[in-house]
Amino acid sequence: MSDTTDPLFDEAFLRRLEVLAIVARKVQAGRARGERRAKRTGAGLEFADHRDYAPGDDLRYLDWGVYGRLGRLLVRVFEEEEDLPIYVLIDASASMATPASLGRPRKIDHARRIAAALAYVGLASLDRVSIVPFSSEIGPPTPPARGRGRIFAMLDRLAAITSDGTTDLRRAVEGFVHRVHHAGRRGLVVVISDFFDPAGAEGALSLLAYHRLEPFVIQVVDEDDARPRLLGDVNLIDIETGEARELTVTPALLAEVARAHAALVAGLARYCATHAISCVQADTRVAFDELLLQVLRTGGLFA
Amino acid sequence: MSFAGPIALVGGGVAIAGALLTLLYLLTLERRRVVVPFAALWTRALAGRSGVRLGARLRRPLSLLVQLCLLALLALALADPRREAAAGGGRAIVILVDTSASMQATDARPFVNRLDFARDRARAIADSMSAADRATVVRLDGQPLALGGLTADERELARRIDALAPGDAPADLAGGLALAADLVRGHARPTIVLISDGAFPPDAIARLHTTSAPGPAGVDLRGVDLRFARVGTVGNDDNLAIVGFAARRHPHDPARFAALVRVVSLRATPATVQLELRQDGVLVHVETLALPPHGELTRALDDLAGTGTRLEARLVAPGGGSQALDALALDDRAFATLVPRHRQRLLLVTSGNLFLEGALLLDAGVEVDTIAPAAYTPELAARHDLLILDGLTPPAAPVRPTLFIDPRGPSSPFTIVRDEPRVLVTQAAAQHPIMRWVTLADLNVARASVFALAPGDVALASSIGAPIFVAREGARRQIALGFDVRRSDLPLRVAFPVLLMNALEWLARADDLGEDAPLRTGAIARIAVEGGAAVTMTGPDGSVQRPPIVDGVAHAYLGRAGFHALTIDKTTRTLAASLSDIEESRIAARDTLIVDGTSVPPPLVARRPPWSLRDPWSWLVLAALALSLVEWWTWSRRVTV
Repeated sequence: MSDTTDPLFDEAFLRRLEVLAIVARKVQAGRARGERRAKRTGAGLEFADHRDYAPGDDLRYLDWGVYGRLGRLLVRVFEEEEDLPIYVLIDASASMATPASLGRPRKIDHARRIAAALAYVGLASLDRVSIVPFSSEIGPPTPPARGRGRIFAMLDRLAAITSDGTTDLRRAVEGFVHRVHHAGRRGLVVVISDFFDPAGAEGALSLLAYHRLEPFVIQVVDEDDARPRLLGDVNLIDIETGEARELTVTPALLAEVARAHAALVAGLARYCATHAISCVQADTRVAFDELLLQVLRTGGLFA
Repeated sequence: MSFAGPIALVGGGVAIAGALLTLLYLLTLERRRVVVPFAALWTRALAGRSGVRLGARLRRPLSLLVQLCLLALLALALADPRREAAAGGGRAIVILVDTSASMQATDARPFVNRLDFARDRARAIADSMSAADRATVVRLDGQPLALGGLTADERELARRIDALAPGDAPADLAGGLALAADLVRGHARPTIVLISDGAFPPDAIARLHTTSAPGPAGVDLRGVDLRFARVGTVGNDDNLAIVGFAARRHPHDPARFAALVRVVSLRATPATVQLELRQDGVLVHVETLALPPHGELTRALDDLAGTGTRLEARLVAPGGGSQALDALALDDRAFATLVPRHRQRLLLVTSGNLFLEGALLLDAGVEVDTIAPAAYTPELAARHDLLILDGLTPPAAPVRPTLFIDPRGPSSPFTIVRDEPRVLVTQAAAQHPIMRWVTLADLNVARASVFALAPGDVALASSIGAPIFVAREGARRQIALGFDVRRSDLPLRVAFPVLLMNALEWLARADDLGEDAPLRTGAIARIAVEGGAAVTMTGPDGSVQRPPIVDGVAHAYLGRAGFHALTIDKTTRTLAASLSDIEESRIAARDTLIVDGTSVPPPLVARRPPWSLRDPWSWLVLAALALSLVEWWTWSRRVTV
């Protein structure tokens, strides 16, 4: 059952997905003949493009000639043909369903749309795409599918996701890895979450890397999480744990909360950077397709 | 600080509300539940602190304190606190409101009459007072009266102003201003605001002194800020008045009586008026009078019949009707009583005075016994009602009312200052009953004794300020004529028998009962009272007063025109009082009041807005409002919740 009443995937949404698919570069990937080719640094032979150097990139791929001419650190990107299933892990914990401010979607809805867009682009590129909801453990995934015709099944599955339970990323990833290991497949793992996990995301991400799965982190951030609009005496209740605490909310405390939130986001980004994991923030104030174009331009996923 | 509100009620309300408030605050306050996606963020932000500030712990008792303060402020405002008299700086104001007869004139439209207008002006003056000012109201009529002490309480002042009622008597201007000056003297910035039509006799105004030193009868207003607020129309002469009315029964026929009416027109145009005479309410005479501009008409009606005792003369518009004759109705009516006459036994002690004996023959009301001075004894005198001692001053004062003619020697009851040759009468007390219908102008006297006036003496006739004819009030009335009538041309004048009969009639009365001529409003009637008798007087308006009794004489103030029922023990008699005052009937308002050659300035009156911050309760309400605004602001900003 869906926990939303909004038409998440209406006709306009589908049209925007089509535009996204056209924008995505069509490359061949995997053993099966697909229309999408992942931009990967690695063992490919055919030079494809440059992109900005990011901490953690392999220094062997730095283009020193360009640096000598332009003074910019650019990394050479080669085309690498590989069989690349795409697993979209979408956080379905209760923290994703906190009420949003007027005019902004809930984090879970924003995550659904992003996941749908990724799935559509993947399906259109004839990649194998699977949607895997999780909270403290993984939910039933969609069977890996290929081709645009499967998008509606994906959308139905996304719409049926309910937000409940606590976030335990490590445990969920363990379950996911176990399942993938049995399936004998590797691939790209897009983790869409707010990463509100008391244990942190580092363990889970390192576990994915350990199992030769390539994680791609999309952190859904909401302004209300960073800067809550409340003051005075409150009884603060955690939506996942139900833990209650009496507080006097002051502007100074709000500033501390904002700093703590910024530290959480920066910590995740820093970890990803140091471990060659692509990471983007999906602000709920930014439309999902704009975000996806940003992702495409930044690279690391499709381009 | 005093309170005008219901203290007990407010106190009880505050106690109950305070208890309820405290009870409510004792209940546990449930905090707002706020659901957050990741409470760990807050835990990290707090970094080990408790999260509940000291201010938050104190907020509840502080909030209760604020609520109780709010309650106390509102309760204080309801109690309506009033400042006590300020220590200094403010004015001490007497609002002297003229309630004399002329203030009943109806020319102050749209007000009912001048007093109604005066009340409005008095309210305006009270409204314009500053917070430090204190004031009181003094009623100015025949008996000026302060309606209370100085106060800053506006409501009390309003009550006093509303209590003012129009009187029927002329104003005692000097007495009223003297009283007002006494009330404010010694206070900071003494101020008297006289609200009047200014229709006072010139001699009354002449007694006021604002800059010069006053004489013995003057009123010292130096150092007092005197203000004059005029009411009424300047130049209004729309008035006709009865200024004299008297009646007496015929000496030989008690069923017949004569009446005399004097009517004055103050209009600048000829006037026609109908004169009605009623006896015990029954119309016994009516006639139309034509009065020239500013004219006067005297009508002697000497052939009237009737046994009633109450007479009323009334001026009405020609043809009767109910329309108002003029602007002042009070002086269109006059009242008199007809009393039975009793023969008096008169002892005339003289060595021979044909003029005197001949004049006494004219008075049928007296029975005369004539003896020589040598035959006089006190016992003989005690057997008579009246005495005339012609040239005799016995060592012991007579026990009966006495007319002394040319008293001499040290035993004279009237102290003789000196002898005065060739005397001319320059002043006469024309209003005194003895001098009624008498003129002594051009009287020739070869020699006269000049008397020293004792307290209670009235100079009936004087020669350049030297009294030669004196009347004395007291336990027994006495009259002293300071010359031998045979050494003057008085016996040759018509005035002589009239004067003699007036004198005997005045002596015969121990008091004002039985007065044929009516008394004037504002006068004090003297009534002889047997020891211990209870005296009450019921006025024409039904008011009852108990006249004070001094030396066996009751003094009853006649404040109203009409018939007064005087009850002495179980005997009731009637006194008649009328305005009969030409000065009071001159109703033209005075635009300016000139005192000591200077025009009295008008009062400074600034109308306050209906709501002002002068009242302490308004400040309390503002404070409560400010407090509640602060609390609302802190609440809306989530500072206190």
